[in-house]
Amino acid sequence: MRRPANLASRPFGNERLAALLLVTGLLALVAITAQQALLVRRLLPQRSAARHTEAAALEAEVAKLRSDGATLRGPGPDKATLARFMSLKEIVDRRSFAWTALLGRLEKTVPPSVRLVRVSPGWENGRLRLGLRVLAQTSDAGFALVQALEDQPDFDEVYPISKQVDPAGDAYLFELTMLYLPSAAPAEPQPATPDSAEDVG
Amino acid sequence: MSRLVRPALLLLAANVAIFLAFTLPQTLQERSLASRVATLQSEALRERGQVEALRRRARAIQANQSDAARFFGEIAKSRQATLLPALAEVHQAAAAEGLHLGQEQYSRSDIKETGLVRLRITLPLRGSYGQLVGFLRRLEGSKSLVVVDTLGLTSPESGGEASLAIGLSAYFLAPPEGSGV
Repeated sequence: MRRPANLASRPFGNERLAALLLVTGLLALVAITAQQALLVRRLLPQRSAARHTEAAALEAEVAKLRSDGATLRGPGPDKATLARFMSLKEIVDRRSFAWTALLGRLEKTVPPSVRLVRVSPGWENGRLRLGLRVLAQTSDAGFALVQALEDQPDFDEVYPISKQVDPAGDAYLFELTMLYLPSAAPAEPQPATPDSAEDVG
Repeated sequence: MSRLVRPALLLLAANVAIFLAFTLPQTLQERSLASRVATLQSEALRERGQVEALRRRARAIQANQSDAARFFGEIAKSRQATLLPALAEVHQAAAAEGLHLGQEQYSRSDIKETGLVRLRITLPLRGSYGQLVGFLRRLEGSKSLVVVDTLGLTSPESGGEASLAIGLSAYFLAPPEGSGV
């Protein structure tokens, strides 16, 4: 079979696909170049200077803080001095403790069916632990007092220690223990609390 | 179209060259800088906290020293200036409330770490509940360095007088060594 004769001065070829690929490539190249130009602009030294300055300032601050810390870390008070502070604070706390306020709170909390026989307070690690001996008309009244004390914010860890029939035989004798933590009362002595001698004298 | 190929290739080559010579190293450097700044910020935060805690400790120590100095300078006094006036004040408070005093007991001990001497006083009292509370109120308002250590209240079975076993401590400065006091 013979090919048909081509009489054109230049041979015909379909260049549309090649042109499309070239244009696409050129557009992609332009986009990449623009993207890189933006990146280069952002990375220029004058643009990143702020971050360098921030880093330098932080380095200086950290160095100064470490130096201040080393100075402040110096030798603190020795054990004897701390013990002295503790003892003085406990004396001041004991001195400023309001016993009448404690008795007033107990008066308000103890119900009429219970009679207060003995209050034995004692300091325990800077906190006041109360021992109460009460005479309750009924066993329920004694346990109701435990609940009433526990419901008061000033008392905590209220436990009955013993319960026995009163020798007279008509009531129950309860022994209770609890922590007394009034908001105005001193907290556990801390050696490093300022103004600890404020309330004395 | 073919005329554009050569400049496009040149532009591509330039892009690659700039990326390798500048963009890539600068990007890596910037990431490293960002990471360094983040680390420094966290270190600064931690150091600020530590220094603040140390400053608080230093202030507390200074305040304690100042309090201790004030305690010994203004509050704690010598035995001569403290003991008998304090006892007199306790007795006057009991008498003013009409309380009956029982047999008193005294015991002395040194609180070595403080340079103070403590005189424990056991004071049995009898009277009405109101009188006992009044006595305690007077002690609370006292100017003396007298501390109520323990309080044993025994209320009567029915009416009558309650009894109070009260443990007091009076504090005064230990005498200088060798003074023989």
